[in-house]
Amino acid sequence: MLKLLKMSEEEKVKFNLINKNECYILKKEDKILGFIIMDDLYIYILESERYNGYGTTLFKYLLKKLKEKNIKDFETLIPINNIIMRRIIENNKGIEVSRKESVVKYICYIE
Amino acid sequence: MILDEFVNLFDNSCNVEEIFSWKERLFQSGIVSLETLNSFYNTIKSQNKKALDRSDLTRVISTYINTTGDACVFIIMLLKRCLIKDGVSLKQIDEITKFAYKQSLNTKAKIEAREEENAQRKEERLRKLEQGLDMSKTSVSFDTARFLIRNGTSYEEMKEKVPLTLFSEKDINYIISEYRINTDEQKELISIGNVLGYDYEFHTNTNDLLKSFPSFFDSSRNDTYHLRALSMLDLTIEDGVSLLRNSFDTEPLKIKEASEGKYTIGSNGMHRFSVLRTLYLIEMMHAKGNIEKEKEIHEKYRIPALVENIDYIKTYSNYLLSVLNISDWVKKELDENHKMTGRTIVELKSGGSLTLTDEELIKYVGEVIRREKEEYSIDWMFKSNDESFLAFLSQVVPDLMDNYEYGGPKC
Repeated sequence: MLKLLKMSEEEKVKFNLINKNECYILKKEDKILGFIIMDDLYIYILESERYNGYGTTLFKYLLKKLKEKNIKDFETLIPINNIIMRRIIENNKGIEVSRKESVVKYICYIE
Repeated sequence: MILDEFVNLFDNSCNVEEIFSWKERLFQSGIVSLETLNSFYNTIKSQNKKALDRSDLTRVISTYINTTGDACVFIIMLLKRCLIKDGVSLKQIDEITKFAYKQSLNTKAKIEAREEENAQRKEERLRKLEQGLDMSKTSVSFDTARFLIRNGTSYEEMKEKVPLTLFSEKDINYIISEYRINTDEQKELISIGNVLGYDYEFHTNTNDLLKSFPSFFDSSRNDTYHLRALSMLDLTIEDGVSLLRNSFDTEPLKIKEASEGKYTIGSNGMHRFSVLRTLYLIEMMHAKGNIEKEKEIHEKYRIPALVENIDYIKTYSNYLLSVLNISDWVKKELDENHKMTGRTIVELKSGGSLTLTDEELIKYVGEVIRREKEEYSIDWMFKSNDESFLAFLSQVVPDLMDNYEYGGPKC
């Protein structure tokens, strides 16, 4: 079963996130799959755990956390070749509004 | 009602072109599936007549039911309307309809028995071929080689006879790939023949369609992405499109226009695209340059997809305002339903932003170009051989276009 937990200080040190305020870690049993950095609206899945849909899971958690803060939408920039992240955003109500020099700008809606 | 209007066409003899012009409308009405419609229209075509009247239409319906076993609601409603117009009594219409249903069941049973027999023969043939499959003699993965064998071919044969090159958006049109602004997504019918690739830089360092298969289908990997669609490699040219039919509605392919008439796969459908494009190319290979046959194949592989087209005015405005260092970002404005308002937001490097209609945007870009022309050389713009870009420039600075011809300023 997947669990999203607040990152411990030890885990923050491990991932070099000690200066970040709000981070959550995704685990399956005790295995770390990835994490969210709320300060930067950043999600990361460990390389060994990719292609299993966990990126989508984390993105949905991110949207849920933003909804709790009454945020209705946000803009984000994704490198054009980051197809995995672009796919996750486009399949979760994100809309591409522009591109410039190998970067894609999305508006992500939170419902 | 649309079906009544369609049947009315046949009150007098109706030419085949007009009948075919109704196909899209019937599909958009939602009263008939694309598969039935395609099959029905093939039956019309097989009559080899230049015009059909209602008795011809009734004969087409009967032939269709007898050959496909399909007596769906659309076909039966069509039949009933023809019979009513012919003055047939309700009692007789009821009997004829019952007979049509019975006939369709008989045909279906025969088709199933035949398919079962063919499937068994095919499995046997495939088993024999796989036993003889020598992986040292092929340049593709085992899963891919097996898929090609099922379809009676090999990588080496396909490499020789059909184009296997995949194109990314960048290959097709660099400016559009870097600065595109899309229209709202909409459902359209697109032929796989016009979908030329995807953003393959991520998936693999090959632009060969068949060598890219392991990026999507790999029985040796243990993640869901590479395993989930392996059964698609059991598809053949006989059944590929029809078996994937439902998925086009439940999980449509997402396609992006890369330039006029050319598309790439977007965020959804890479597995299906890879398989369908391969099946399409195998059929094209078998067509051996027969133009009519190639057109048929092109139509066979026309499928519903969600398409984002290019908004050329906004895209080229984005490009020019960016390279002329005027804008930070140029983006489309969305309304409360997340749809385009038609306006464009230009975030200026100098600070602030403008919200412009297309007409205002064209005027603004024209003013910027004329202003920049005073300080910098802009000849490079007019040296483009991209027709869509030149068409845009003609809208924006028609006066300046007169001073340039292809290759530079007029002497």
